[in-house]
Amino acid sequence: MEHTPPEENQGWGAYATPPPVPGQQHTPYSGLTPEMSLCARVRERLPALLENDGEIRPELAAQIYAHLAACPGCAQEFDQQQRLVAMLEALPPVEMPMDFSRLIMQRIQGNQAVSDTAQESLTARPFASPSSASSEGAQTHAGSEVGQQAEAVIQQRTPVKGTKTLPKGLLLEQKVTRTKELVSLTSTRLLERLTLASLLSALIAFFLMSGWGRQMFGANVDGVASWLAQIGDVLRRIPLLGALFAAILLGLSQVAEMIRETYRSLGATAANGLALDVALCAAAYYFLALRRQRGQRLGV
Amino acid sequence: MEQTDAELVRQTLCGNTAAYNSLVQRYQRQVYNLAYRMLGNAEDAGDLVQETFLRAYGALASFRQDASFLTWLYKIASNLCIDQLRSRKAKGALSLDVELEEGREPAADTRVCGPEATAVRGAVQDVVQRAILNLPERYRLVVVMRHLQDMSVDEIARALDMPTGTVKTHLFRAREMLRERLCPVLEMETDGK
Repeated sequence: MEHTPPEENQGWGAYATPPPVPGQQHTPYSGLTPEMSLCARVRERLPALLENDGEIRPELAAQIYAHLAACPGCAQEFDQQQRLVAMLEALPPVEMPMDFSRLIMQRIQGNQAVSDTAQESLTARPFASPSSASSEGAQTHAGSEVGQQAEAVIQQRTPVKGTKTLPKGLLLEQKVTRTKELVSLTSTRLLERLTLASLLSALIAFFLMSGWGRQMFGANVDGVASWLAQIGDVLRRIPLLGALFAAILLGLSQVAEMIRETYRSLGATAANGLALDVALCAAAYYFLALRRQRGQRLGV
Repeated sequence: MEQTDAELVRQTLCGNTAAYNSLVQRYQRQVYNLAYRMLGNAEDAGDLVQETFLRAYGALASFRQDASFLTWLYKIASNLCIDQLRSRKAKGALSLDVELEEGREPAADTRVCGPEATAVRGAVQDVVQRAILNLPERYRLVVVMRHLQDMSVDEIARALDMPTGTVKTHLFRAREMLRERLCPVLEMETDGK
């Protein structure tokens, strides 16, 4: 980065005077003589001159060079700046200790392999939880090429972040594919889910509609009420806190009693209606829960 | 004929990982140099190169084809460098001097042992490198990018998402700090001239 002063001095020669002699009287208005103020102005421009990026017009550059030729202080300042830049630019490029490309590509392919493996294992075992499916999936494929790649990635220092390293275009493509898979999966398993939901509903309906079920329900409510009353009796002996707990438990036992009475007074018809309602709600919940669970596993 | 960056990016997005490998091979040296000058040791620089290219691969679809791929890489790398330097600060990391004493120096240095002049030059380069590492993060970045990576002020501004005026101010202040710290070396050089 050599900056040699131009040959021609284009009119700034009048200003290109050296800085004042030390001890010389200065004009009081600014604390700076015109010469010093010129030096300050020139020094302000030195970084831009050093940069040489066209910010300073050639005419102005010529004027600054003329000043530098006449002013040892500014010349020294500029020289130091140039020297520093030369020193920085003399730093040699650092040699890499190894070729990182192989490692980087391995990690990219490894991440993809882990992501694919997790995907495959989820498809194979839809009812397993996502985390266990992922690790079990890797075990299932251990020994195969994909499994080995996945294990290699797991052994690496930096944690694997699933599909994070895939380009967004590819991610979008994968999401579309997954959505299609989900749609087809939903339709093929619809009959299976409906059957399961119907069976569950029938079971609940049978329990609530049968005399045995009602008896069991009533007996249980009775049991709970008496159990709560007994606990309340024991707690009542403890001062203050015991009285508080006893009051709460008394309230609960009264609620249990109320439920029991209500249930008995409703009769069989109301019980049947309630049973059907509960069964339908349970079936709907079961269906939706399964669907949501599947959606989460496929990442859609 | 060598393929352009844009072509290689396009091929990568179509699933051709070999194209991305070419990009890695083309630019890993520059990214490594930036990371090394910013972080001060070969081990962290190596990790940062890997992380930069992995992040770039993950975000490749967001890369604008008309922009410079290298500048984009520098943007990712510089953000990672700053994150790393901040986490070092937060962890109360070892001071630079301790790190250097503990041998976290470059694994492969370009210096060659030999004549006295070479040794002196090596020592000066060490001092300069230390002075750079003692600059505040942003100043360090602009100095490394401008004077060691040979980027223009405009390119630095694009890579760091800064106005060019800010880059110039940072450069100016960074050089002032360096001059202050390297004053004895600069004077020595002047005397030896």
